[in-house]
Amino acid sequence: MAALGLDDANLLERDLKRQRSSQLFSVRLLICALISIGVVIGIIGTILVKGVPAINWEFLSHAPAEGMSAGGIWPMIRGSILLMAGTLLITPAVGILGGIWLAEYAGNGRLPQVVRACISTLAATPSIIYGLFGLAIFVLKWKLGTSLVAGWLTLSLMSIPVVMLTTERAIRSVPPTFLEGAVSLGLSKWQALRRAVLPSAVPGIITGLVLAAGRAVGEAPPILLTAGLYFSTEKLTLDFDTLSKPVANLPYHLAEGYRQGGVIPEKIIWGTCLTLMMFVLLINLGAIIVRSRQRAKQRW
Amino acid sequence: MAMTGQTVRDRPVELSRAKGSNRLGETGIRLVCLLCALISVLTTFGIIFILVRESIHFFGKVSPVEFLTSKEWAPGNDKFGILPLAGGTFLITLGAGIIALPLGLLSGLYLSEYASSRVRKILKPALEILAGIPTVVYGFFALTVVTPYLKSIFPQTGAFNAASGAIVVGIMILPLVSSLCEDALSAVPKSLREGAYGLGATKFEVSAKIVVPAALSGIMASFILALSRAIGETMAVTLAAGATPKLTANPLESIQTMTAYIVQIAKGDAPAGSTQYYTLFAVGLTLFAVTMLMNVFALRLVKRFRQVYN
Repeated sequence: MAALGLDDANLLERDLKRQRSSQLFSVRLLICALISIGVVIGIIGTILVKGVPAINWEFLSHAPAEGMSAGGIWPMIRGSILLMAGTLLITPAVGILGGIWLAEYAGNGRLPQVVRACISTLAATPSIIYGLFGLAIFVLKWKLGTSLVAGWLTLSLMSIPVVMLTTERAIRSVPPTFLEGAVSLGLSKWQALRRAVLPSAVPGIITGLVLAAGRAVGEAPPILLTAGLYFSTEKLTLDFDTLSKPVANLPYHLAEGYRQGGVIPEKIIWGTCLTLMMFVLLINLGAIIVRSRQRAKQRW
Repeated sequence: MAMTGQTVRDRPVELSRAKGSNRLGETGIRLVCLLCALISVLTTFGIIFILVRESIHFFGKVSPVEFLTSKEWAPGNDKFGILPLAGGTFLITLGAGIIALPLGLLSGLYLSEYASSRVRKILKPALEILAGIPTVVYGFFALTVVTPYLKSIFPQTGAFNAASGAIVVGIMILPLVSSLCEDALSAVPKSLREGAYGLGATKFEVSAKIVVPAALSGIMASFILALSRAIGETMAVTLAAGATPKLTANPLESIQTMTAYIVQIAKGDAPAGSTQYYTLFAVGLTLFAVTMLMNVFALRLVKRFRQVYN
């Protein structure tokens, strides 16, 4: 009896210990998660604090002046917008149709396996490799030169695999009954896809597109190798010449501006950092809001 | 009666006509979609082809043995040993891994096992947004904030140093690790957890001894993918770690990574056809081979994981 009582006490104590260590662990995990979030919020905060004083309307809307020690960064913002617009011109058609093939037509054969392997390889390929490819093919072989068009093509190649993947996922998240129902009503497969499935998948597809384009525009290496220009003070002329000329843009401006050391005052660099960051973050935020709205409305 | 007869007769005719033209359209659309999907195959092989072709020019001038074993990288003096660049990349990746992998795994565990669904709904998109901050910005942050801080602790820290690069790359891949780990952990079937709880396990025991081991291959895959991202990271390390190809284990010195070398030379407008131009592709091929192998390995792990639970 006594032995049993002792055992009970031991067990009770051990249980308490286990409970306590479990509670301790959850606190530690929470701390880790807070550190993860805190660090990145710290970075964003620092850039906000240091960048905001530089930002005003003139900074965003004027060209650099006095050897970039004054004035604004409008030509670089414009360049980034141009780069993104072109990428959004080429990427959607190819990426979305490829994604539709993966989701609805591919099946499980040999060919889809190869395509999937290639897409996942491309998605994991460092952006600078795309830059090298663009340099060798678009800039030199096709003789496009360091130009806006070469940049568009390179950034599109980089975004297309990502868009295919997100499109496939968006289509697959639509319940199969949508397609089955439409086909059983006599629609052909494409009609059923277009009328019944794609409309429900559109927000997901758009989110993927925007995220891909935002990422492409923030990535400096491919732009550096195929389309970049350190800075520009010119006014934009809208003609075909613009396409074959290099274009000043935010990531290149930042990378080069700092490398050349001391040319651009630090305040302006922080301001440029903030502008680029907000440019990409607002795009991403927009995409994510669209998606979560859609999810809230979703009825399946 | 007559009217209904008419409509019944008319309709099938229209339908069959529509069907005939449809079938052609169906095949056409299917084909167009296939062609678009094949662009990814074309791009992959295009990249491999270009990297290999230009590297062959390079290896015509420099023996592969010298390239892989020589300990000096000085293209100006015809010294082409990739080890210093690879060493620089390794140093950055190692440092970034030490920071991001444990922290990322634990954050992922928190998100998947402990966070309420409301907290998760806020934190997951937040992480996704943070993953989108351009890397140039991180590079600038390393130079102006991290390096001065390091200097105040270790006075011998160089103006450019591997440590600051490693730290910001670690921060940069952190959201990726935690997000992928969370995916892997929450894919573990609920029944495993419930079984363990039924046996009287505490939450800690369920998380650490059941869920994490069960998701191990998925976790490893996320680690590999994140490290491969660190290897390919370009702008942050170019800005923060400098341009001194050097085989060193001292993180406070300036080094050069493979990616930083490519940026340095490609921006300097190496004339096409020069040895310098071809070095870009030899280094690029090395980089591509490493990241591709890591990706293949990660996919294998994920596949095995899926087979066990689906």
